Amino acid sequence: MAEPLSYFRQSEPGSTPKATLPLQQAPFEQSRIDYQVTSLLSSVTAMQSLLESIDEKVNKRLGVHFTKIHFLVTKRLRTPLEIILEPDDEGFTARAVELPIYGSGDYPEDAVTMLKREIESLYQDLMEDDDFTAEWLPIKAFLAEIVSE
Amino acid sequence: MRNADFDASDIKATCETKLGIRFRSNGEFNGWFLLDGKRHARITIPKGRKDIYKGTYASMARQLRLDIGQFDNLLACPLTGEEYEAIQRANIEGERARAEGKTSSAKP
Repeated sequence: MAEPLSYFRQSEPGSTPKATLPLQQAPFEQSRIDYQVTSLLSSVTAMQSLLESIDEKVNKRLGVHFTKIHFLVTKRLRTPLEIILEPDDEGFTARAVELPIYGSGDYPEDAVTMLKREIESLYQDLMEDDDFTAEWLPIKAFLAEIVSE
Repeated sequence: MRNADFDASDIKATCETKLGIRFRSNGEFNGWFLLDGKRHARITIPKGRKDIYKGTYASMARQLRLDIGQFDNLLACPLTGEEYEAIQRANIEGERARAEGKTSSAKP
């Protein structure tokens, strides 16, 4: 492939480069570049969907499920919260992607219920006051945004 | 990972004696580790469960901002409360340095 910059020549330093290709060749070059960009983009899209399907298969094999919860035990969520549910020895663990808490139980439902209780408990802890280290501030803001009384 | 060596009551007792965590008992046992008087790390210990599953053990280590080896050491005795506090201070310094690095690299 020809070096694109070789098609341009600067008449003076700092001035706008001017195309030196013959007029009839410039549209051809442009369409060739457009074609290459388009085919690259479609390759990237194909690779993305391939990676997603591999990810899905791996998670399925490991028994990992991504799901969303819309309600806690006594409160509701303004926006659904993504959680990960995975086998854990003889039971299950549920984790919230954005929060440093977990739920565990012998059955998936138990793990999710414990996680919901934990989210409420953390929410109550953080809303009491601001007497915690700085790492909790974004978590407090996040919970204040999604939890509805 | 030494989850098979400890049960929920061992973990709770270690957190209370070494880290000074005071647990509340709502649904589960929840407690905060205080660093310089501020709530810094929040751990949940499942109530009514003797055995601790691997994922649960790892989650508790993460909650205390420790890796599995450090959490093993905390429970198995070598890691003292003072050493735990030193790890937390180093973590905070590391996070602060990373944040400052990000801020300065974002500047033109």
